[in-house]
Amino acid sequence: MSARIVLRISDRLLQAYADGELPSAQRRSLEQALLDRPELAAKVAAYGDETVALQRLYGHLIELPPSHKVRRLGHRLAAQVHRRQGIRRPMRRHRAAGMVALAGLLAIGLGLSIPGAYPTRSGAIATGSPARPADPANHREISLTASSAGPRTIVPGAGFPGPDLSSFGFEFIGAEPAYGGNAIQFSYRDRAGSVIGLYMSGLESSLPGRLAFTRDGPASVLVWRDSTVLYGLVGDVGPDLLRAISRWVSRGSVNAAPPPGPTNDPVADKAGREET
Amino acid sequence: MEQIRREMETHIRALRRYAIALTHDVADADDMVQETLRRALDYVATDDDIDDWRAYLFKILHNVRNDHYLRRARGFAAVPLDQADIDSILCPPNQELRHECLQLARAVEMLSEEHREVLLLVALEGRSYREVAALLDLPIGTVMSRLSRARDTLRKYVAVGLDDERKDSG
Repeated sequence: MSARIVLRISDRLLQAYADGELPSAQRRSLEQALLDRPELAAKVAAYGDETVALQRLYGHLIELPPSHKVRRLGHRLAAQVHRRQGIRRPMRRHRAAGMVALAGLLAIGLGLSIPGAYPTRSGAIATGSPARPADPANHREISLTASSAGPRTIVPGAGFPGPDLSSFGFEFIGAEPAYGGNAIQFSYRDRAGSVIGLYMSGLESSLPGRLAFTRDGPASVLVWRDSTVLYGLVGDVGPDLLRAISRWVSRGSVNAAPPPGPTNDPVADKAGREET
Repeated sequence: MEQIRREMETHIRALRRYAIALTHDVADADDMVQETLRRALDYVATDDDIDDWRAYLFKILHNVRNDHYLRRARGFAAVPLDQADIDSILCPPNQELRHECLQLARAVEMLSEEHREVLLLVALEGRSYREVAALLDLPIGTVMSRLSRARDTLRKYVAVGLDDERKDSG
């Protein structure tokens, strides 16, 4: 029996899809059903529009500098946390990151559901054209040029350090566990408000070594790996810039100087080799 | 230490954004954020197993907000909302589509507290349903139904606002 017959599509289900809450199997079934139900796809798009509108309304408030009093309290709290962490086992979080499983990012490779903290998810959904990795028009595999720009700097970021993308115009805005703790999600924002998400997960076995590229509405999604880490990079900044960034971070987190700027060289991309 | 300080500042900015979005009142929001941090300072001395500071601070903020509304209900701390101030912060005068921005701001303001908080946590803060349920001490089904109703209501309020304007201009 096909999914479109058995799937009861309620508003709640559509909403959960729009919010990236559905498990992958259910999401794929729904996406199939939406292809034949433009009125439901329009509802999903409306949810996405509302989310985008709310983010436009309030998103910029994060730029408002906190008052002196709030900053001072924040510094005191940070100092307390620092003292407490000195008492606790310091490597706890890093070990947790090291435990990240392949399964979480395999999900990315199979068709990324752009997660909650990522505003462009709504933009992607708003187009009514969810990612269909099996469709060659939306999905292709390309080789990834090895990073030639040199090493990178670890930014002392939130909770877990993320690669420094400031030379691409992106400021680090936070890190948090993703995919049920199976991956770490780093978020970055540029001055125009575009947000990109970088996902990293420990690699437990070998994967096909090619870079997977897919489009999810206006968003581009890259998935690749190096010898130890599986990566996902999501953003609506265009595939060329994402590829340039991917070349930069693809050796994982290493301490060194930031890059001179995006290399953004599609020719080099085509001729490039896969990172292993 | 610098890393923790930056992390905390990121959390505090998000916390303040959420508090302003929730209250539409910057002074109220700042009071709540300050009180949240004061309580967190007390708690951190005894609670040494906090992994997700952002979630932790949001949780405290909700407790602070509940106390805050309780005090208001008892007649204390009634701070009048300066609509012009919040309008200029949310929808700056030079903003493109300012009118639509103001319509949406009004519509959000008209939502009930319980609808507004769930909607903002999911749509603005990007929290998962599970995280919102934990933060608000609600079953996940309640989160979903509140969210659904919040979105329906918001859409209606925006539509009604636009209709009213059309009638006024007609």
